[in-house]
Amino acid sequence: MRDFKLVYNYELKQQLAKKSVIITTIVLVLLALIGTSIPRISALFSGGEPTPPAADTTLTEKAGYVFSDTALQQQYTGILNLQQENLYTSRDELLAGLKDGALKVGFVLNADGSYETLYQDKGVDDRQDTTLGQLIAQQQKEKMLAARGLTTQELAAIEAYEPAATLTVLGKNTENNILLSMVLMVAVYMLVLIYGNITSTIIAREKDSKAMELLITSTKPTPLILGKVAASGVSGVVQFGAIILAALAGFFISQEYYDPMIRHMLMGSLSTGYVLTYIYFSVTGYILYLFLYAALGSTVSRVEDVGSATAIVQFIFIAGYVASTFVINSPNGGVAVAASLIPFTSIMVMPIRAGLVTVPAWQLV
Amino acid sequence: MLAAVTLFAWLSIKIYRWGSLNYGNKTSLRKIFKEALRSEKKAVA
Repeated sequence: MRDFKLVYNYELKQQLAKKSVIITTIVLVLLALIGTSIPRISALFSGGEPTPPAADTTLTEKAGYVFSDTALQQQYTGILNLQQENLYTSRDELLAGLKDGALKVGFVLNADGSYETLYQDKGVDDRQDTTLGQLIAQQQKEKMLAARGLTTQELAAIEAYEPAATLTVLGKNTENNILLSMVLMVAVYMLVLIYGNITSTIIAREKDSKAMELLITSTKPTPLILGKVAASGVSGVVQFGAIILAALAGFFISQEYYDPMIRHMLMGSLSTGYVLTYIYFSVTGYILYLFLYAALGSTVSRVEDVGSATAIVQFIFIAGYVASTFVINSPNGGVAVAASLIPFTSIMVMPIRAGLVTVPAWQLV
Repeated sequence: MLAAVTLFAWLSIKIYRWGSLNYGNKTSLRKIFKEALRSEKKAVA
């Protein structure tokens, strides 16, 4: 036990006291805090007041119109606020205007609601044809409604009808939990890959520098590997914990500026059962992978070989990540259940499954 | 899950014990497990 404490304290100090680790953690903590406070920051700059939309001039600026009759001309002159320079007497005049650059777009409107749009060159953003089409459709609908003794407001009221619905979910609502489950899954993914590689590199470096030979003569292998794995595990949790706490702090500070749906997706699914399941599987899975990384790191003689030695572990872990993406579509499918029971993949799959569906208790042990 | 962690922790200690003294030899996963799981008596002999 004394040897374990000695190794643990030394390794933890080595990992957390490094200047690079401290600076990186501070930078990431600040980024997480600022990133989750963006809605509040943007509200401060905009002053909280929405800017009024600019008047739409796409149908009047450098636009020419030819109407089939005077009644139609009077109707659309009022609606679009057309000026004398917008009015043309024939299609040929419009074509001439387009060719000499006086016009950007030309319209020929007929009494039956049909219309022609003329462009010299049509850009990607030039949507005057569809805009006018929508306006004509609206006018025609109003005419048809008036013929039946109805107004647009009455039609809107009819279309706005929605039945009074009550939603009762006895288990878990998948819609609300997907976002949180995905965010936490990515956090575990990064934690295992980063700290797994750090652990195996530390051990391989000791072997490369022959420091391991000295350690082995004075300390048994068991406290050595346990101390190193524990130190790596704790430093990883401390670093990631600080980043997640900063992100949560930013979210709580600015939560009233977040979209209610995002707020519900993040907070609505944080039940005690889910948090405990997530912590249990993430921590045990993380320790499991750290042991594997540490063991494989000791089998190579040079630091450069660590990547090839630990490739198999990375492959298994990434397979778990891929399996977790299948789980989102089918959380109770055969692949999902099998992957959540296998220790190597359950670290990624079980927290997602537990977030999406009610998992039987025996599968959680 | 806890049983799996305990099992792989024990296996990792065995691999670490063997791996820490293994210099210069080419290793494969099969060899690692075979050598690590040999009893200490056999390893000494």
